[in-house]
Amino acid sequence: MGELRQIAIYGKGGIGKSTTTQNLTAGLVEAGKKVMVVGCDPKADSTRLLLGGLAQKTVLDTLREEGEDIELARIMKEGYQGTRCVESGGPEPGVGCAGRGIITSIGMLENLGAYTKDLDYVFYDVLGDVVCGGFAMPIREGKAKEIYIVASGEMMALYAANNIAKGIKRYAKTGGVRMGGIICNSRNVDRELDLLRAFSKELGTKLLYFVPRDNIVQRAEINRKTVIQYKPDCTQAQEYRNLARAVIDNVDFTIPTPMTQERLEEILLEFGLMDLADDYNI
Amino acid sequence: MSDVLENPRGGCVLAGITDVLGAAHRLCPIFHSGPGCCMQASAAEQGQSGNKNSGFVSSVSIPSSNMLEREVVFGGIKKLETTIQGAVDIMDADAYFVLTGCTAGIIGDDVNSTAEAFRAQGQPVYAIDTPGFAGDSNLGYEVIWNTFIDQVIEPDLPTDEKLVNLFGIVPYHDPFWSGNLEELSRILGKLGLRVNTFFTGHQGINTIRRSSSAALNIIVNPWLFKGPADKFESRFGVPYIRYPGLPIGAADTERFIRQVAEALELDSKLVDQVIEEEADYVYSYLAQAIGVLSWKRFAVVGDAASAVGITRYLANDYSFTPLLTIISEPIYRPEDKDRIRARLNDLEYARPPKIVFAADQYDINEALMNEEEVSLIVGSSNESEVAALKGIQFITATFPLKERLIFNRAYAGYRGSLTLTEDIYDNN
Repeated sequence: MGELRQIAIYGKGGIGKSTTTQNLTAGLVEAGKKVMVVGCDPKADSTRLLLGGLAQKTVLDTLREEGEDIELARIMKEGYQGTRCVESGGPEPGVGCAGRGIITSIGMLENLGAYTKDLDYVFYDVLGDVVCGGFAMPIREGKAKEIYIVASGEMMALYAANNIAKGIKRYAKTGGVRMGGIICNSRNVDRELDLLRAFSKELGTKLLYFVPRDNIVQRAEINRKTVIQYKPDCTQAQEYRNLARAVIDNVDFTIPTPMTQERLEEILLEFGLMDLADDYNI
Repeated sequence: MSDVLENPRGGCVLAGITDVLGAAHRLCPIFHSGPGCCMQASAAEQGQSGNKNSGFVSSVSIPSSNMLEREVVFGGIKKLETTIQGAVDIMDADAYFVLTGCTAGIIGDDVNSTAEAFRAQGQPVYAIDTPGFAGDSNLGYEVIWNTFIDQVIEPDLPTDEKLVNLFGIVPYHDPFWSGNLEELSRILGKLGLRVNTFFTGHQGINTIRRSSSAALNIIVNPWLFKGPADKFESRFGVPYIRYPGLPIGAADTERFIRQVAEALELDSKLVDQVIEEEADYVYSYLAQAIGVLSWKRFAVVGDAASAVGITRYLANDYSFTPLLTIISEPIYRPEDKDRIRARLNDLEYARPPKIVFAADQYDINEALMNEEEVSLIVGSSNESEVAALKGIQFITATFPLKERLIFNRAYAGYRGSLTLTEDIYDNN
């Protein structure tokens, strides 16, 4: 069985963390792994594709309505091929403190014994920017040891990834958390692959996988399924299987080296100014 | 039913934690909180409990990171680090515990890693992650014990068959805690046992560390400590028994002794001998004052352990008539309420009292005012007003208790019951 790997997925809001996590999870369960996905976003949409819809009662809603004496089964649902799905939930937009909510929710999961010995992977799908201490909860002591940042070739995605790396570096010093790599969720930006490779290297990590853009992902999403479930024999499904394999086999864990703003812009310029006609590598 | 609680008794989680750290020997709390918390946490418990405060460090002498706006916005860990360093440099304590106030809890400061960094340098600094807003002082008592169990108590120690741990009497939350612990220790000592009270006889961090070598955990409380006791048992293999209330008087203290003796398989001859000696002590005094004793219809207001103990003593041993018992602390689990009711209904021959669970002072006063035949109230300082309005006899015996100085006065056990009886007849 091996040791439990706890993995947190960070990245700019809207970059495709939840989509990538769920599709990657489908690949992992196909490969025989037991996975739990913990959504750490007040939007509570991290398990929609695995559960076939947004029906799940969140940990914090349940806490609010029923108090602390609840059973694990109330907040953990089984999704595609036995994946265990939990949504932390949070306050409504504009009120309360979502960060504190994450702390409370993960603490509750611990107390309820959600982390069983038969699990191979736990994924924490964390909302876009690590704006406060609460959203760093998944990478604190005893939880996620591996971080993957989902990015694309777009400027803002890379800014965000660099920023998140600063937070990881802070916790890497005291805890055991490490970067496992960058996952590119392609936006068909010019020279995206090269850009991501160079960016990853500068960040002290590597590009774990390059997931191409494909509309089948959107079609599967509208149908509330992962691509592997929706159309198991299409090329994109194979991409996600490859991504799962890349995660399983990954042994390169580093402390990231976030770069200065100037250096980041240098890299962006370097890859943004090249002529399309020359040097076009795939 | 209002959502407002009038005169809540006690404080937040931090108050309960400070109770324990203040009562144990040479333990230093470090507050990672806003500026007022250490004062408030002390005032809410130590400040209204027989006028005894922690002699080591208390209220404004407690190290605190005094979080202000800057810490809320940017995180307070840096400030906490300098605070801990200062505490370690200046306060000569055996261990330091970082408490998380509401502010630190909301912004999610990682106190655990900070404490670990200090431990890596050889400093005995431990972090308690539960923030103040998580509950009341009773929860604080359980939280600090969970912390001890998780981080301090040593596993794999050989069992000492004659050692027991005493839990359930929360220092300061029971104003007579010192005397009560000493009296129960004395009695268990006569049975050949050594007792970890943790809060008397200068017991400190080493006593806590080695508490896993006990043969038995004894909880003297009808409902508190369930979680930590289960944890203690699963981690260190120490079983526990619960005596559901404070044992006051010959009848209940005998029951207490027999329950402990059965759990530890003590020599029955010794047990019988101790009980006979102690009972003789008590009754020979009672026999000397039978003439002056009058008969009362009484009401008791207090926390569950004290209320149960006092009601049963006055009804069973003393044949006063129990009319009303008010449990003045919030209790959530239905099985706990059932256990308390069972204890109050199981009197030797009297008709059981009306039982009310009310933490709100207005509700308590209402219940007392409506009891027309009551001629004695045994309660806290908060009940003095109602007693004065009704013009009836009143003594303070439960928390909060502000008008008396209490050092080692006890109400529990054999000798405590004599003291309680003396105080009822104090006409001062």
